[in-house]
Amino acid sequence: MNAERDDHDGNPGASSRGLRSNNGPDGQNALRDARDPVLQALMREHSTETPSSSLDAAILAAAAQAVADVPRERKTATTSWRLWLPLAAAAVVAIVAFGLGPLTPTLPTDTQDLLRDEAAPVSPNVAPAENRKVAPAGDQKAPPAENRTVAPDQLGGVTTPSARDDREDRRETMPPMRAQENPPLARNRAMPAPGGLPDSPQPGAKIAAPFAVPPASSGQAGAAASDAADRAAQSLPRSESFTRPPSFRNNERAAEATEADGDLHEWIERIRALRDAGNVSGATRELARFRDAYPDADARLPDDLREWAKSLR
Amino acid sequence: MPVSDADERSDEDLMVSYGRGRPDAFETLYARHRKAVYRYVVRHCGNGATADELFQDVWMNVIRARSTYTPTARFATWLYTLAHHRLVDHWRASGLQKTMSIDADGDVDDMIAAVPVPGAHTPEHVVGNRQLGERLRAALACLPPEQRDAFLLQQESGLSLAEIAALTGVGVETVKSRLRYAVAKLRAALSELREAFNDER
Repeated sequence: MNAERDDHDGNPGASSRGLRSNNGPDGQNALRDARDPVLQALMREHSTETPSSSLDAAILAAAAQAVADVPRERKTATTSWRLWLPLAAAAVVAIVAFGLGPLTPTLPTDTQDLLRDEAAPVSPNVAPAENRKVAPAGDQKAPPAENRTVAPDQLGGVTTPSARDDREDRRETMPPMRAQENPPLARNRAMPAPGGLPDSPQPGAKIAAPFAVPPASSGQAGAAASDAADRAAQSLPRSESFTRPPSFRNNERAAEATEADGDLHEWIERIRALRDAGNVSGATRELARFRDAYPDADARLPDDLREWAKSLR
Repeated sequence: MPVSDADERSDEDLMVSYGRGRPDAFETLYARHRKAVYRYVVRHCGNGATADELFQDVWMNVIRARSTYTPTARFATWLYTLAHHRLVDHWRASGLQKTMSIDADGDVDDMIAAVPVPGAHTPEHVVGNRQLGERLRAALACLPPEQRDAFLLQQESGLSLAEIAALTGVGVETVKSRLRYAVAKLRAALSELREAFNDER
């Protein structure tokens, strides 16, 4: 093997491949001094030692084995990761579920607070009558902000206890009057019209006609109420808006506005009937109640009743 | 050793290539250096079995260091550094390490003289006599380790004085002195053989 560096020439390694040694002039001189050609020839002659073939085979096998083991080691490492990855993922999920779960009780508490706020009773400082105010037909003004914030039931919200109480409170105010006044009304219908008033051929129709809300005005009132309710809903917290679908909310609001509108007309007709029946004290009392219930009661009255109401002031 | 060295790449390139998973590069590298390294080792320890063990350890260190090898110096320098360190470890382990002065001749001449000289100056007895080689090895073995190390590194590896100095951890001047002393002692010890060798030529 001529490539092997066992040929003992003058400078055996200096002529080898690879990086050159940097022998300077001093180094060369020193080497020349320390070099004996005869001695080198003797060394060359007697350089017969070589590693055994078994030793060569063992070293080369070890070298090849070391290189071959690298992919296997990498493969083993990858395989072990593949085995451990699902376990690690499961452990992470378990830690998140059981470790962080107890740390998040604030979510249910917040939800309960929201629900409590939604079901909270109306502030006692605000009069129920004011809370019940709904934009009447023809009144395009938006309701006052304080009314908007304290009357969730008018916005078609969930029928909460406070809303139910409110409605019952309103009926407590009105039906007793109906109970008191309707029988006299019925009696009045049977009696001849006092004061030379012409007897209506259809007294019931005279009374009932105003109760029949024209569809157009009812639609306008419903639309106005719906608009007012929408405006109020926009001012509400977002969480409440999410609780019900908007169409359902609008329908319910429109129905309530129509009902309030019907009550208003019923009340006005009752006052008129009392007045027309000559029951001035009853009409006056009813007017006073009407004024208590509506601050702008005179503006809501029809022209004939408004003139009459002005004379009573 | 059947591996032929048709590869023109440098030792450093071959080692890097082996580190990247090419066993054929190692075979070429091994074929280039195996005899010289083996002689360096066997002439230090003299014992064939021990030399085989140390030689194998040197190359196993090369194999282990394949992935971390960076060609910042000649591969031969690195290889003989590994061999030198392995020998030093061996001397320490066997209690053979001793600090010797470069002037410490000891009984070198007597030891060399004890090796039988070929009886005649005939070529067959000078060149082919096995005793000649034994006398040469005996003369080398009787050198102080530091001088022998410097001499063998110069003879076998072809390293420069600076590389030998860096490898052995001494100055260049010290290496020069060691070499001069080693050569002078070998000349003196082998004077008879030299004469026979010259007569033969």
